[in-house]
Amino acid sequence: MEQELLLAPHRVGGPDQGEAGVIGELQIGDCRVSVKLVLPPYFPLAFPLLYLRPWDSLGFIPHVMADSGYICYVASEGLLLDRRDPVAIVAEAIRRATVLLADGASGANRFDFVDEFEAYWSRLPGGVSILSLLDPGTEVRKVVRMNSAKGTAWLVGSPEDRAAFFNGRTSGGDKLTIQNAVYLPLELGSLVLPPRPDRPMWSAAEARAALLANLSAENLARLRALIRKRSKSQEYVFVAIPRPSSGAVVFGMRFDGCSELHPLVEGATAERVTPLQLTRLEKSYIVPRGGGEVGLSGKRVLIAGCGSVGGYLAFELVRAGVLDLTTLDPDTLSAENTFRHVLGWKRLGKNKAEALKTEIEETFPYVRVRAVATGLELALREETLDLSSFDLVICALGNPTIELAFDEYLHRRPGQQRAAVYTWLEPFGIGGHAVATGNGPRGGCFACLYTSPMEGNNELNNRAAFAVPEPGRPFARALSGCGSLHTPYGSLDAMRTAALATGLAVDILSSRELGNPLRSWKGDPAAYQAAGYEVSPRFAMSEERLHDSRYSHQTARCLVCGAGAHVKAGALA
Amino acid sequence: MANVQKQFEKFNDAICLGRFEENQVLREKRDVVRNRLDEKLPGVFEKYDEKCPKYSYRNQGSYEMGTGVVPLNCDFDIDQGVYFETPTSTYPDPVVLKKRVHEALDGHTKDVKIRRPCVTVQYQRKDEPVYHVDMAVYSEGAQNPDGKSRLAVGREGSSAESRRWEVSNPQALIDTILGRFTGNDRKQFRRIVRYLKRWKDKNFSADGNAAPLGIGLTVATYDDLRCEYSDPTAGTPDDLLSLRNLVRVILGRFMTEYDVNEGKYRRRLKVLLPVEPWNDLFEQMTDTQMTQFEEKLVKLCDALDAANVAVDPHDAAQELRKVFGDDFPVPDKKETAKAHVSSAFVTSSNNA
Repeated sequence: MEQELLLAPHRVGGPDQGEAGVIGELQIGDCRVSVKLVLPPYFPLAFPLLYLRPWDSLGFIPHVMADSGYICYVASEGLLLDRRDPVAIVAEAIRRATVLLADGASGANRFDFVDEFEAYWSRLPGGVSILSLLDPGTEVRKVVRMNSAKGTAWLVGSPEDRAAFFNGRTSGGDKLTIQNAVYLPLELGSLVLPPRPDRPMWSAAEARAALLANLSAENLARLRALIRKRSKSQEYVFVAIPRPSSGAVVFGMRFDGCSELHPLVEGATAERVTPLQLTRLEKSYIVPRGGGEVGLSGKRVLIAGCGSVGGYLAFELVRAGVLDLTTLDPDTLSAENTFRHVLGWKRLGKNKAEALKTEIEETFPYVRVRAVATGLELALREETLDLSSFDLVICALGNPTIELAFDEYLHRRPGQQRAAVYTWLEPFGIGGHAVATGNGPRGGCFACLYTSPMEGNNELNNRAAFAVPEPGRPFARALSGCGSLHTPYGSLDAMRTAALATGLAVDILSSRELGNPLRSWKGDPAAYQAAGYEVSPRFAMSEERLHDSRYSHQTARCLVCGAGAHVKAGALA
Repeated sequence: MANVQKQFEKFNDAICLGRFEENQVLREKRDVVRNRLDEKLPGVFEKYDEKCPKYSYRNQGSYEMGTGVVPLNCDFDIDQGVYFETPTSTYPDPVVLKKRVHEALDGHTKDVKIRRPCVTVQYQRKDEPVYHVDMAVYSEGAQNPDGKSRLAVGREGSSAESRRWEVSNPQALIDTILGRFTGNDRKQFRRIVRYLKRWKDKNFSADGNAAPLGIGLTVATYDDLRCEYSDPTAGTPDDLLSLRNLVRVILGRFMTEYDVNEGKYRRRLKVLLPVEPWNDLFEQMTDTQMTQFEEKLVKLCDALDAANVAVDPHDAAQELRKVFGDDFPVPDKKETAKAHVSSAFVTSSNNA
């Protein structure tokens, strides 16, 4: 088999002679090159390794590692190997490597150097790392290199970038030295080849030659204005190249022993040029966009209720890219919460809203969390909470009495109309729900769920419920007396409910959802039924039916959002 | 518009007859016949110098479908299939096997007779009919070259062409019909069929073919029922609306056709069995019976319309009682006028 693909093959290596493998030749264009094939220990569970010998027999080409000659012919992520056909795996590997080498020799894949530039840059000898918070723009400008007393270097657009990264907190007593640097964004389509790792790093002249020709005329003018001044002996330059696929690669250089001129000025020299590898932490690089047209990071969300559901929800909202949260809850974390709250027992005895704030800010950069340690009803009565400052309010109180009053407040109180999501879960893991209101002009609200569309009377039954509550038989159980009531549901149920509500919240914030749907998840009813309870007809519906009827709960008879809305007002409104 | 869903559901509870598995009385009655047959049948075959083929029983009919109703005259109708493991070719005359079954059961009660589709055993108490078991005799599908089970059709006095092995698969019929409805829809389907069957029992005389067949009403419901819900969120069904719509559609399916033999126009409703042999389930009805059927359906439709426009559930239920009989409950005026009062605080299943 190898004879068809590898020319003149012969075995090499063995117990005492280094890595065992087969050496053969490949015909690449007019060239015959030597290649070594090695089967890794877990082959065929891993890809065969192919090495070009010597590594630069076809020149400096993409996807061939310097020195070792390792040919990176495949991105193994997302690929499944046919382990029952190892011969075919080897054949496929050689075929792919042949194509790659041919593209390298002809120059067809030269732009892969740009796509993979950061990887090549990081392999240059003598490199130094730096954390980057710089948002790569398209204009040449002055940027800042900050150095902490502990020795960590940061690249920022301005010192505020660092404060935003640390959620508004300052350096925490760490002394920072600041040095200006130059940022060079090259034009789209720029082809810059990285320095060969086996040769000396670029000189100042080589760097100028590689970079300056790829600047736009405007940027070149900006650069000239920026580097007119007499140079320091040490200068920093950071470069962004738009990647042909998407985004941009960013890398830096330190010029030591500079002449009087800035090293980017024609004729200037530097004694040494050091490659700087960036660990990129800028917001646009690490915060997800949420998939929508509109960025979520600027949206402000109030989470009322920081229990099991609210806790997971807060974390998932941040992970979805919502970075401005207000948490509200009057309760403290107690031992009973331990195994179903996202915070475990770490902050036992602390207020839930404040504990969440602390934990989220310690876990994520770029977030801003404000904690309000009071109940929703109190905050509204005392008018300490202005709902108009939020894009979305999420209620996860598990207290429909307050939530119904709040729903009315949201609809009635002048200037307080906001989109809201109510979310709750049911006992024994039979399901959970999230319903929206105030999103778009169409009706539908939390109170609709408690309004009979036939009778219009304000019932106390939730029409969305999967459980059928029995009078006088609450679902809550006492662990030890009245003081520690505990409704049987698990962390996973709270998590699923939080996932459902987060999905709805993100859909609303990104304008993918333009109405006020009721979404539900259904769990296994076995434990619930074993406890002697009955499920509702709604639980018997298929997922498809539940989806199809997601707007059907809105009713003109609703006293809050429907035609009957003028009839009577409740306590909060 | 009055909401009479609660009354419909109470009506359903009153007329609903569970399936064999759920109903011990039905099971016991069924087993009495089975035991008798098991005891006598081998001897009967022996008498005729025949080997008794292996056979097995299968439940069939409305109890198996879950659409059974409590009979008005207490004459419970239990359907049993007896599947003989013998090809039809062994018994070219299907009536022979029916005669063997008849002979085995004869004398068990005063009244055992061979009817066209089955052998009927009538059980009586003080000369009142109490219940009967219809034993349908089959040639098991696995024994026939085409793999299809066949029903022995014909009576002792039937002409040769009226005696035949008819392709029949009662389980496929049940599967087909129930397969169209799931969850809450299936529950409503069963209730609607029961309402129509009780309406039939109440409005047609029980003898002969005067009344439309229960299976005919069942298939008509299968064909045209669209399940309606007054509250699609909670899954609260609207039986009145569903039934009203269904009856209108069925009435719309009555067609005027010209009878060449009689030289006159007539009105017919055709409802075809949705499985082989795809026969018209109302074909046995005479034109006169068919006319009555249509007239009575119009009256049912009128009553459903009247109930629909009634403001008070009491008045609506009165209208419905006229067509469904006294098992349809009528709430007091007082009861319905009074606003629905519940507790000021109730158990909630909301948690977070």
